[in-house]
Amino acid sequence: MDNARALVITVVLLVHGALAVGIGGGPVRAVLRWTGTGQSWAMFAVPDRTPRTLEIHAEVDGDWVPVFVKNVVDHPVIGPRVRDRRIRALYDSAPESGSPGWWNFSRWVGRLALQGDPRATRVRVRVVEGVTTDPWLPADPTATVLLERIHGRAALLAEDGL
Amino acid sequence: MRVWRAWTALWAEREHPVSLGLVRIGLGLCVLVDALVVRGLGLVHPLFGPELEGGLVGAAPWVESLGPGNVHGVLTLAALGLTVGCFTRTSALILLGVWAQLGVAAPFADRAVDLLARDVLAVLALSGAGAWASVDAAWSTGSLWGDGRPVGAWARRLIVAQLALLYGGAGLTKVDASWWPWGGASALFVVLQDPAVTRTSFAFLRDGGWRLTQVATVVTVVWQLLWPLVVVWMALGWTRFRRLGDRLHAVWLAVGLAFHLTLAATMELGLFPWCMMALYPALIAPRHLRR
Repeated sequence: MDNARALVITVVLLVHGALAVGIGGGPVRAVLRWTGTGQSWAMFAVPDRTPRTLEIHAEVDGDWVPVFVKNVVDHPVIGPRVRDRRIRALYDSAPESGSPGWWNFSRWVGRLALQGDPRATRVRVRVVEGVTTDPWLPADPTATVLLERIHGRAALLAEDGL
Repeated sequence: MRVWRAWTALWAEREHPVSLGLVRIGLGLCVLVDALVVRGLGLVHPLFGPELEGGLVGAAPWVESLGPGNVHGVLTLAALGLTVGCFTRTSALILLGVWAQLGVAAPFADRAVDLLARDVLAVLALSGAGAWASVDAAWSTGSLWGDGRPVGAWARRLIVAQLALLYGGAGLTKVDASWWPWGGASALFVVLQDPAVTRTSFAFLRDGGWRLTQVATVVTVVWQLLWPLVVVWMALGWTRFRRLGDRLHAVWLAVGLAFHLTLAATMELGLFPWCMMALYPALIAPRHLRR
């Protein structure tokens, strides 16, 4: 019994050790995929020097008013939801060409913004990419709009009866 | 042959279940709180529901047929079962299975910490983690704290090995020059300028505080790279160098807790820092916890 246990543990350690340093896989990967286990770690291996900021603005009387801008303007309903690590992936990892997940996200979060302000006629959801330079260099103010969707209240109203 | 006998004896050793019990409670609580927060924020359908019912990416057919709310409810109950140690092994297996399949259904929502927690769940499901501070212990022995009967130490040691793999692997994969002195050790400064993962703006660090982040960057990399040594230090605990091993062990634990508490205070990484700290009791042998 002790020998069998030690043997199984040895195999498990060898397989996971190999996976941790990126060696092997093959048939093991299928089992790992279905059990949702494995050794796939990369904790900020390459820090992101072009970080993204989620910005949500509502159009009120012809002006774009900030509703939520990450780390600048908070919103009691939108803030806790878009901060969720799973929801974050929909805008922070979305391809620049957009994706169905991003489009659905923009409608969903747009609805939340419009629900909070009956004066708003449109909502603009966008992801802006900045540039982070090393701290001993001057800051780079470059900001590029990567993703942008504008939704009218009427269009969202047709979907949800806002 | 002598090496194999020692190796076999290492995994055959038995100990009080307190350390494993604490890991079980900590990990269960992390998952339970996370599940309740997701439900409380109304994110179950957006994350796991079909597009026509408000899902943001569309549900897997099996989740759609069972209902995302029901599937997530099973996950929540299993997390509760694991936390209180009620049908511990079954709860851990159900939690592992449902969590894994939700990860397959919504891969964008499945992060490294989910993978790590499931790795540990697989170990807990086979271990004696339910023999202390659990409903199972109360049923079988009449006491919530069990009868102190030893359980296999292999599970706790595997969790330590998992931590060593995780941290060591994370250190080895830090390939960007900014993690190293020759790259200016600016990695943590750069990470803290990413609004997507920070709790607040750290733009003020550019005014001088960035030198502190350089120190923190180097400490982080060294600490992670040396993690495999923890296994050696634990081994010292079984030899005449036990006292030295215990001291190094304590320093390592303190740095780890400070690291994860700082992460939790400055960054929005969800379960990650809490799950990691929940595994730390595995690093403390029951003889220390019960002292």
